[in-house]
Amino acid sequence: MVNKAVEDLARARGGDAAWQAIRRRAGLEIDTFVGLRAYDDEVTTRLVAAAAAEFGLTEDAVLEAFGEHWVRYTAREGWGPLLQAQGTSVAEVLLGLDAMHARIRLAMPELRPPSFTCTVVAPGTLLLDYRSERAGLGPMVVGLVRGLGAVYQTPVEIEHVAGRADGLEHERFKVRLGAA
Amino acid sequence: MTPATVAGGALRALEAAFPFHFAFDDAGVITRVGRSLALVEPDAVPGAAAEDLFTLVTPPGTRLLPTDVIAQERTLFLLATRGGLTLRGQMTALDAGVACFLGSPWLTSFDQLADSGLSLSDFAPHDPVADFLMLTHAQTGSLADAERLADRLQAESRLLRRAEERFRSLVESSPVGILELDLEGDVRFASPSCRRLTGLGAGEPGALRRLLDAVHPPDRRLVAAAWRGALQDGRPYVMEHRLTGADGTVRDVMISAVPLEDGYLGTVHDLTDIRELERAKDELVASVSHELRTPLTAILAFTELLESSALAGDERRMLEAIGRNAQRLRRLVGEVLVLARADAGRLAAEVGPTDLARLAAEAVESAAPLAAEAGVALQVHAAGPVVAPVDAGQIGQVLDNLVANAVSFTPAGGVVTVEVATEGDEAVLAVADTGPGVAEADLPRLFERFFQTDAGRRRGGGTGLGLAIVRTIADAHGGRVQAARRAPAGLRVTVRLPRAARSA
Repeated sequence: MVNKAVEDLARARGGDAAWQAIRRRAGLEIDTFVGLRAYDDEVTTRLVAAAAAEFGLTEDAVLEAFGEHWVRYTAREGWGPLLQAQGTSVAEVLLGLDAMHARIRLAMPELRPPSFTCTVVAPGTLLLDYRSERAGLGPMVVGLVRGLGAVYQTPVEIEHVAGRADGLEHERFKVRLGAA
Repeated sequence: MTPATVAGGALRALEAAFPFHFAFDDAGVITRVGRSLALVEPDAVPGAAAEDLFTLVTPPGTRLLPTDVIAQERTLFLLATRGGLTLRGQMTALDAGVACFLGSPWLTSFDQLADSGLSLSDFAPHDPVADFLMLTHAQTGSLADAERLADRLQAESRLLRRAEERFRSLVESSPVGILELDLEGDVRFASPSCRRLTGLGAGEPGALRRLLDAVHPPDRRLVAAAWRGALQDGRPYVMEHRLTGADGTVRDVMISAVPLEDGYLGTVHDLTDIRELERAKDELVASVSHELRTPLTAILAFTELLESSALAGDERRMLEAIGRNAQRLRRLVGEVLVLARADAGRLAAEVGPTDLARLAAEAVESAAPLAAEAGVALQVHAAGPVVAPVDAGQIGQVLDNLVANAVSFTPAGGVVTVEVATEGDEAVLAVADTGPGVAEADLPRLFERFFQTDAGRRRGGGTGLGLAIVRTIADAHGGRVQAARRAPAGLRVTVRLPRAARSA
């Protein structure tokens, strides 16, 4: 998913030339990604680093941009219907993410999707616990949630409140949702 | 734990596991509905008649009454809502005289889900319909990816086919022969020109051996050694030699080859016509030069004889004009001959240790009458002998051309200086004048054949070959030549020649 997001964002920003430049910089022979297929994590690491260098951004900023772009544009073609089928609001989608990932594993057993545990702590406020085998993709969650806010026309504030740096085994975000 | 608590817990479990359930009594009246059923059938409320809202599609001949359905607990029930949605599930006894439908809407795509106003949060997490939708979506996505890749592959194949057609027509019409061999040396492809030149065709084995056999015998040893070297080192090969063609004629060819991953790709250029033309041109230039020089020598000799006679007035002026023009013609023939020899690779033929300071002094001495006539002073600066392996005649000509050129462009009262020195491994000859110099834009073209500056054209009399010959001779000696503007005016031409003899 990340790989496809990098490809799509690169193409959206600078056309095929930008994508080819990132691909060359990352030393990848794959020239396009198939949405519903698992790729080696190494590919993602190299792509994100190459895209950050190409766009002159930090890797965190690149991941955040990818997350938002993926939800708003890329997902419309591949994962979007699945994502939107989870519910009719940002909260419903977030609450259904783990079930969605469980179903994805049924269809693609080789996939190792992340886990999102969502707890409503107050009306309009959720704690989102993000667990992934892949370290360093936390900033993408911020982009994804912001993208969901845009899709469902809901003001969203997301804040990283704790994580591995604080001794947790996962990343925790606080999400505040405004009225749609 | 009281029975009431158990019942309450069971109902919560029913609600959580089957949000689309509904129960009906032996009168066919709905007694309870799950939280999501109202989304697909808003009139499904306790008290409504089940058969008014749902049509039993299968099993056939069954009514929505507990007595009918409970007996078929192992049957899959399909019910149609009034909105056209199909509910799939099973029937079970909930209580005495009460049956319950446990199931959910049957959907085959996320679009259908959205159209029915539902989301997956309306289904129980374990509901296989949600899994089926996911699976179908994954398969549809994979199919779309496969179609996208197939379209792309088709488009790329089309481009590749067109490129191959263009390439093929180019290869087949090219006079240059193209040859591809596999690692065993068997011919994989041979263009028509290659077949004509070498007799080799596609599929023929042992091409390298056959090609070597076709090399003209006197060239064969050198060619074989070069082939072996290139094959061993896996580097490109290029060589000119003679080849006995398929028709038995001996032709001049240049064969080149580059190693590929799985073989070799080579070209065969037929140079026969070019070489014949070059030979014809050389012969023509030599012959014309000889034919021109013989009568010129006679003209100059008789002019000198006549000049010693008692001619005067107009007759003497006309005679002097004949002499000047004959000298100019002889110089032009000489220059053309030098360039023709250079083109044929026959310059710098008589190289030997030569004192360049002596050559400079001789050049200045030869130019002295011309300089005196023009009012230009000549100077030579040389610390001592500077010996370099050169063809004395040709480097003498370089100095003559440079000094004559400098004198002709220097106004009366000016100075032309010839310097001879060494710098590292090089001998340096420099001729500087105090003339008007050359425009910066003209400097790069100064040594081109027939190039003349504006000043040169205005002055007239030059051939535009003098400096071209200087560069040609310098090149033939492995040297280089450079021109630079002098401040405040003038031009400085520097010739650098290697002081060590060059290997052949």
